[in-house]
Amino acid sequence: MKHDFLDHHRAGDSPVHKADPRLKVIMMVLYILVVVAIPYSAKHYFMYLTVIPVVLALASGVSFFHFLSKLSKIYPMIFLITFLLPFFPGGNGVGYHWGFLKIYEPGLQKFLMINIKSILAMFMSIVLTTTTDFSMLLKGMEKLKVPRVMIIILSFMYRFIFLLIDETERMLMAFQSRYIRLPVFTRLKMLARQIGVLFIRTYERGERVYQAMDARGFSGEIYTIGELEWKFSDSMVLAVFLIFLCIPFLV
Amino acid sequence: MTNKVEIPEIDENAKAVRAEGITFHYPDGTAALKGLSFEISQGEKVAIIGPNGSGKSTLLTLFNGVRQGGGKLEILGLPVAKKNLIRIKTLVGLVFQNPDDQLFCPTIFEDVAFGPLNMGWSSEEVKRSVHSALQDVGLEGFEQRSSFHLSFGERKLASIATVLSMQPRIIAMDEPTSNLDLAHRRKIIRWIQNSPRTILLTTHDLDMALETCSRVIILNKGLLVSDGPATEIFRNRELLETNDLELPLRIQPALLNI
Repeated sequence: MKHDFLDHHRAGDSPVHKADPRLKVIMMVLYILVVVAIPYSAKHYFMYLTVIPVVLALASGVSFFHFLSKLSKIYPMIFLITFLLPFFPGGNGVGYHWGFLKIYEPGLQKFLMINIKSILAMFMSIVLTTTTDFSMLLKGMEKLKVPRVMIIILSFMYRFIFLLIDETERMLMAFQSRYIRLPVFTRLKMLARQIGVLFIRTYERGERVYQAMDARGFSGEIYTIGELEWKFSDSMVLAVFLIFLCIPFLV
Repeated sequence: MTNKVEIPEIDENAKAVRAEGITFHYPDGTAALKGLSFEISQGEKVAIIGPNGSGKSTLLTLFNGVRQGGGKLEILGLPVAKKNLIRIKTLVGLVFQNPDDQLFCPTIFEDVAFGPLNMGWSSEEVKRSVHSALQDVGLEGFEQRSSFHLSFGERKLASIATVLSMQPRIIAMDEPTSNLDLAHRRKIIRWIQNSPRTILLTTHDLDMALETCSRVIILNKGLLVSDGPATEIFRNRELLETNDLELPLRIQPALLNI
């Protein structure tokens, strides 16, 4: 139960938890498409769109802080990639002086758009994936005709990431138990070797897992028994969601 | 969704396993098995013992056709060859040493259902066989659990269930009691004793072998050194010690006086 943290809020009985995983995947994809499609000139709609994930997050009964902490782990990547954008002149936009720095309008717009859009998209995905059991999520994606290969890859990743974490932990522990003091460079060299060993072990494990699959008649196809039930309430939620999403385009 | 194939008939009276001069070479050319010949009757429980690197585990993988070597190998009268492989995989269930290699699905149910689904059974049949397999190893109600949330012993039992669900006639187990706590070791021993199936196992746990198996095969450096009743072989101190083995603790006379 060591890796409970990943699955912490997957089980629950709020309406959000109980909704059909297909519904959640559809909502997620549509939401992301709409968020991505909104141009800078319509930026006031972003506030409006924030309502959806916030309502879902509140309805799920999971503490808001949990979602924010997950978001805070992914968001820095986006910021790192985009934070230089405002400082590059692009097109024929206006520039502002801010101390000794010069900030350019088009770059700033791009920066804001990318950041707001990705925060909203990530927030929506986090709310829905946190509240869905992973195997159900995979099943939902399978029913929605997501390519098999992707589902298999995700399913293996979910299964073996924990083993990999365990193996890394054990290896680091064995290393630390013998480690007294080493120069940074040597330590980095050791780390590089450990990563190499981890790759080889993963490869070998892959071979063994394949043997175990082969021994049970695996022939390249993965068959599953699907038992998802699309309820009337799911249709209702989808309808309300679609109307809500479409309003900005109709007004 | 069905991938049912034509099923070759098996001879009910045939030997469970008939091996004639089977050999196996690793891709790098090292010979792992250098010509083994033996027969195993249906319902027999056989322990294959020997030092590390003697070819025990390799031999097990041959029974199921996961690896193929030279020589003649028949399972219930069917030669292990490409055209029979699908049938042979349902006849011989292979339980690997590390349950983490065998359990690779998000839930236990999917893991246990993996084999039957590959065989193209209907979902009713699959559910029934998964249920009875889990019941057999004492893991009822574990269907929706994730394997990484289980203890090592429970994972080991679950990995046995993954082959039981295919209703095999022969079960080949690679070190079934290694790394297990005593309670789960005992569970596995009871399970082997009560199983009506032909069971082949490799092990270093000689006491377990003595309790569960009526026959013992000693392998050393890819050769079959000895093959006989467990009661005889486990009393032969000289034979065991020349093959880097020991008398099982239960048989060591000094211990009987404690």
